[in-house]
Parts: sequence; C-alpha cells; structure tokens
Amino acid sequence: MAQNINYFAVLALTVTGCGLATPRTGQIIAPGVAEAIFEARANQTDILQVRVVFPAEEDGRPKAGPFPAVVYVQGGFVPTARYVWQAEFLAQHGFVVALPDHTIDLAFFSIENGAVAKELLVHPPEGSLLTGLVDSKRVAVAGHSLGGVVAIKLALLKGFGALIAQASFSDTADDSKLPALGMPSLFLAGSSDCQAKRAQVEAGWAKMPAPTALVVLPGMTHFGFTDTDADDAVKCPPQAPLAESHARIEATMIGFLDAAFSGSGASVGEASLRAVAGAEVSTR
Amino acid sequence: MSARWAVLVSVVVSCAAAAEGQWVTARGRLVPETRLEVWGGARTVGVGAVKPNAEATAAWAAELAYAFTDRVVELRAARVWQFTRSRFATASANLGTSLFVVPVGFNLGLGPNAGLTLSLGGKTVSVDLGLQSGVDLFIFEAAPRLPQRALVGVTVRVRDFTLSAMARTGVDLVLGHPFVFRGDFMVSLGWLAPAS
Repeated sequence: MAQNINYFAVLALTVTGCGLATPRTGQIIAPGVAEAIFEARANQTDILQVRVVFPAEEDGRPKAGPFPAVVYVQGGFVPTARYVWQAEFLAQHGFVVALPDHTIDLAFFSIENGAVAKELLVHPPEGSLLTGLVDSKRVAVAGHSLGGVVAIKLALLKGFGALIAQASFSDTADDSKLPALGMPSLFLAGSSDCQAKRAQVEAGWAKMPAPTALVVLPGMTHFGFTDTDADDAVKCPPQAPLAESHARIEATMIGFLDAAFSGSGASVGEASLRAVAGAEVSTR
Repeated sequence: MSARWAVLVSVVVSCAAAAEGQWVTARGRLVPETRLEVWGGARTVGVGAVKPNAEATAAWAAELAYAFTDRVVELRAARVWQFTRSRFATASANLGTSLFVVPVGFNLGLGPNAGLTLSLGGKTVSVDLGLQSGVDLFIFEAAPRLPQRALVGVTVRVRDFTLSAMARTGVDLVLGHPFVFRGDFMVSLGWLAPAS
C-alpha cells in the first residue's frame, strides 16, 4: 500500500511538475530594475509565460508598491526580449511591465494573452513578488505593430486605463467599437517607417476618440521601437540614430502615461509631448 | 455501419464544422488488427489503442495523452465507423468524448468530439486528411470551448509496425472571446496485434 502511494506521489509530481512559476524575487537587469518570469493559465488548459519587469531593490525584491503598470504586446514575429529596453525605462520611472508570450510570436493568434497578463498583475498568486505591487486602477496596454492592433482590441475588452499603439493602427473590424473606447490613447509613429506608413497611422489615429495624441518621431523606422533597427538598415534606413529615437520614445511614453494616470482627469499630457525634441504632435 | 448511422454521424460532424478528436482515430482506414500506438509531438506524448470488430468496419478507440508544455492530462475515447470496405479512398467517422485534467491551477474539462477522416492509399502507405471538432466544457469557465481542426498525416506500414507523422491546425472558438490559434504535430510508432 505504502509503495502504491509512493508511485502515486511520483506520478503526481511528474504530471504537475513544480506548479506554475510564481517567483518571489527577480533578477536585476538594470539599476533599480529586475525581471521575473511568471506562468499563468490561459484558455483553460494553456500555460502562458509572462515576463514581468519591475522597480526593484538591489537584491531583486520589488520596491514597495503599488505602481501603475503596462501590459506590452509584442509585434509580429518579434520576440518579447526585444522590447525589454522599453520595460526597463518604464520600470525606472515606477511602472511594472508585463510582456506576455504568444504562439509563434504572433499576438493575433491568442489575443487574450494580454488580458491574462493583466489579470496576473492585478490578481497575482499568493506570496509572489507581485502581491500588492500593482495599482489595479492604473494599468495601460501597449503594443508595437501587429501588437498595437491587438493592444487596441484588448483596450476595447475593457479593464485598462490607457492605450499606446506604436507604429500601428486599428483593425477595421474594430472601427465601430472605437468611439466607446473610454480611455486616453497615444499613437506613436516614426516619420521614416516603411511598414506602418505615416499616412496609415494618421488615418488610424483619425478614428480614435478624444482624448488622444499622435506623435510622429523624426527619422525613426519600424524597428526603432525594438532594441535594434538593423532589420530596417537595407530597405528602409533610419534617418535618426537609434539612441536618439529611444530617448524620444521614452520621453513621449512617460509624458503620456504620467498624464493619463495623474488622477486629475484623463489627459494625454500635451505639454510633455510637445517638449519631445523634433516630435510632431497632434492632439484632440 | 448502417447507412442510417453513417448519415447521422456525417450530419453531426458537419454541424460541428470540423472536430477535434483523437490522434489514434485520425485515420480513414481501419485495419483488422488491434493497433497499439505511442507518440510524441510538439505538445503531447501519449499512448492509444484502436480495437476493431471482426469485419474491421467499426472500432473502439482510446488514448491517454500528457500535454507536457501545459502540464495537462487528456483522456479520449471514441467509436469509429468506416463507411465502406477498405479501398484506395476510404472514409471513416468517429464520435467520442474528451476529458481534460488540469492539476496545476486546477480545472476539469469534459465534452464530446467528432471527426471525419479520408484515407488515400493502401495497406502499406496511406495519406489521411481529416476534420475534427468538439465541445469542451470546463468547471471553472461558463463559456464552452469549441475546438475546430484540420489534419493531414501519412502512415507507413512495415510488417506488424506502423510509422505515422501527422499535423493538426485550427482554432478554438469561445463565445464572446477572440479565437485562439492551435497547431500541433506528432510522430507515432504503432504495433498491430494479430486478431485473436
């Protein structure tokens, strides 16, 4: 009998593994910033990996929250690791950032992964480092390229407080729902983007309800939102150094998010956006 | 299988549009021997068996799979009916049930599934094309999940052994939610146990 119980225990351990990953500390990846990989259940049976980047002490423990948060949706076929630089600066400015994985790096194939990541942030597993870390009323959703299309879809599902679409525009199937978006939005574009062309982004932005801002950054291309714009080098060379573009993205996103979550009414932070060097800013 | 049953199963499958079922029943042709099979794939490892009747026109099938990427146990059982005697193009339908056990982040799912498979080829080499569909009901989710799959595979028989490679793709539909894309493939080794 005891032997049978032992066999059962081994079988149970094999089947269940060590449970879902719910880290208590993270690994330092930049001054004051740590990263941890969580697992969450999606679509009843799937295990979803979510990379979480957060303000941290030197030993990898999270700083005392609650912090506002951003769920970031990767572009098509672009690994989440290439957006960690954005998560780093957001964490340095006091944001928790969740980057959910998607099947074959295509967010369109599992749109609700972003909603699962948001649920992980606001209702974290007991005892994990996320406990009490996120202010559930200040969670934004952002995405790049195809991830921006999905970010807009997630924003329409409700539960988010602000939206950022980078080099992106909405799915025409969502056009009729956009007037009811009910949150501040920011469209960020590169003036030299050959994939999400400026005219397309502007046409997409024209459908967004107020308050909303369109910021076009000078000389930046499509992959300037990732950690390298080398993919654009041959066919669509950037006209601005990547470091400069990154600094502009940082200033724009922080300016927008601070205003959107300021608590003094929904706003896009127009003054901060206009202070970004070289940026063309439209608001309504 | 009677014509009446064949029509009924066909109607069920077509109403479901395409059905997720078992790996072991994803063959259009039944063989007279009991087929035991082990497989490994992108998402699951598992074992299964198909036991035909004396005429090899119908069979019972069951399989146990472990989805190692998601740590989920899947159990399926089905009845299979072959529409005609075996020939170059042989079709079969199956109707069964699936059980999902999610030990971590506990959940349980149960529901019917159906499949329609066309086998092209002969006893030694065959290509299978199939549609599968199902309804998965979970105890912690009100909305049912409707898996819809198309599959393609090839099976080679050498004496009493079979080697198969199959791929399956499709979507899960959930009312009021966006679809979820699915893709999976497996390679299996089968043993044909002589009929007793």
